[in-house]
Amino acid sequence: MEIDRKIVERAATLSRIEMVPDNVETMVRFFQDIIGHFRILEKCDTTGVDPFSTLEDEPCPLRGDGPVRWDIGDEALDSAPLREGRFFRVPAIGSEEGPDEA
Amino acid sequence: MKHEQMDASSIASAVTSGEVSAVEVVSASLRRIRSLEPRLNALITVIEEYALERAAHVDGQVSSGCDPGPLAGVPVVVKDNMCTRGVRTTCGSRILDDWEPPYDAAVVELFERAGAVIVGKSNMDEFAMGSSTEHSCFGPASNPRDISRVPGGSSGGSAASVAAGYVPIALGSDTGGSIRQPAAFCGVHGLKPTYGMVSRWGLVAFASSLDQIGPFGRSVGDIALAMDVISPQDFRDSTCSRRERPSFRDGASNPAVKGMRIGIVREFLDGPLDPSLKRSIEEAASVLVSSGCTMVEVSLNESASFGLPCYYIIAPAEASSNLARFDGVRYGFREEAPDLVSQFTRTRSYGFGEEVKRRILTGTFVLSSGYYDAYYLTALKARKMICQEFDRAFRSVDVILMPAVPSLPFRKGELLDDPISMYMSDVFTLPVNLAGLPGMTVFTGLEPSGLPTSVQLVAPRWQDRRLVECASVIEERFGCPPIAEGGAL
Repeated sequence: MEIDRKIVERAATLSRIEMVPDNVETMVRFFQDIIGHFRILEKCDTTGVDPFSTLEDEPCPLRGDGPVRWDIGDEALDSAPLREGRFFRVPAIGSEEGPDEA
Repeated sequence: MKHEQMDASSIASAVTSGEVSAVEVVSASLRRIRSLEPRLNALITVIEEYALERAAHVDGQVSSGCDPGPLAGVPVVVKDNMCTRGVRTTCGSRILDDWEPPYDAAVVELFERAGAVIVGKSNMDEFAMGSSTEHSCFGPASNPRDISRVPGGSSGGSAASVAAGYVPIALGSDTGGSIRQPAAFCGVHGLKPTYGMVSRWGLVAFASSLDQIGPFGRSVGDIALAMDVISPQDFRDSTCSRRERPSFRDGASNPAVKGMRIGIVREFLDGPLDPSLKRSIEEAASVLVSSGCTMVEVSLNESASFGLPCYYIIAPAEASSNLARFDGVRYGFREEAPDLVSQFTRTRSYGFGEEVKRRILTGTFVLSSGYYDAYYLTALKARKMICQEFDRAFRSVDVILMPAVPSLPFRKGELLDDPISMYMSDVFTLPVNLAGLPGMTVFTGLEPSGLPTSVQLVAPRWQDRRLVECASVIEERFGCPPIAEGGAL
């Protein structure tokens, strides 16, 4: 498989990361190197091996099935770059307007 | 003896008995930080006022006859990816550079409940992605044994803080070697516990199936003391096991190594390895043999061959998902834009550094349609094979003795433009994370250049106590790491 700008730009779009043209070239070279390295795994005979999912000796411990009060809503909202009352404030999806008009 | 040269248990005893006050000890720690920090940049935030208040609180407990706990008045540092209520927690990133969490991480609660006083948040590679602490938006940290060299990473600031005598104990997190590699580079001990031993409640996630919190220390006794404090069960982390924990301090003070079978991994000794580190393995093996252990050769061929590519598929895949939450909506930095998607993109593009972007893009690529089976699924199968290979090895040995790092600490900037070579410095540590095993870097001395050597011990899951037992025996022969003065350039 050939690694080109298109592959890197697609990964960047999916990641919500904008790349300037120079950085795309650098990232293409990095992808070529790291994916070349991943190809070592082609020598790994995984026939009949189940993929790793969890460490089997340790079932997930369950906590009690009861309501727990986490009353830190206001403190959590204080961390937001922009809040309005009990809500996070963001611009509208697809809007050409700023956050104040959303 | 100066306070910075005392180990944690001596400080706690002296504070509890009233021989010295916690305020005196913490003030000495803060003085040491002020004098060396301009050269080391090991800390992102120094919490001076709060630390002195906490120390006064501990002194108040002592004078009113209360037991402040096993870490009474002990100054400690925690990595800046562990939440501290009201104290910024940056993860070394611009995207969180002024974020103050509304709660404490479980390990922070446990440390404070035990009487420890947090004096600083340590410098780190952004979101724990790196092996040199050069990928921090707060600038690189330096190795206190030679400031022209890196302290390792990603918990380089924590390792440097202990090596430089800021504090006797610091906490780091280890996803692929981020405790053990900087411990080796800075010349201190560092333990990554079994996956599930320590609660990760309040640890900012990098790769959730691999991340684990553990301590750095200048004595095995301090590592054991810290582990006894931070390892209780915690229902808030669903991966934190309900198993009974061992007494680490008992293991450190009564090491029962006689009869233990120690595995030596030929593949790791025959590959690229600094001669001084190979010699350390041989000397540590000889010490263990003279204490009644037997040496057994084991093979870890799959871990040696496939560990690195397997890790660099799985960890970025998990990171790409975990770091999706940083979008400028709920916390951290926001770059304003006219619509929501542009806001996400601008915020993340400006907020994340280059190494984080590299890993997010790699993770997104290996998970994306058309490539998932070839890369991610294959890596999960290889991970399973690595787990099985360690299981087979531990049928014939009790502990594995192997290198922690392939080289002595490299110079700052030396590998910055060569990320794949930088990744190679974790080649001996990351298979241990893939298998969820406990591993410990043990200091074995200083070379004539002043650079430290070390070995790594690895045990089966939940046999972490064996690590401190073997480490105690090795420490008895090689001594505790001396404090570094932040010299040479």
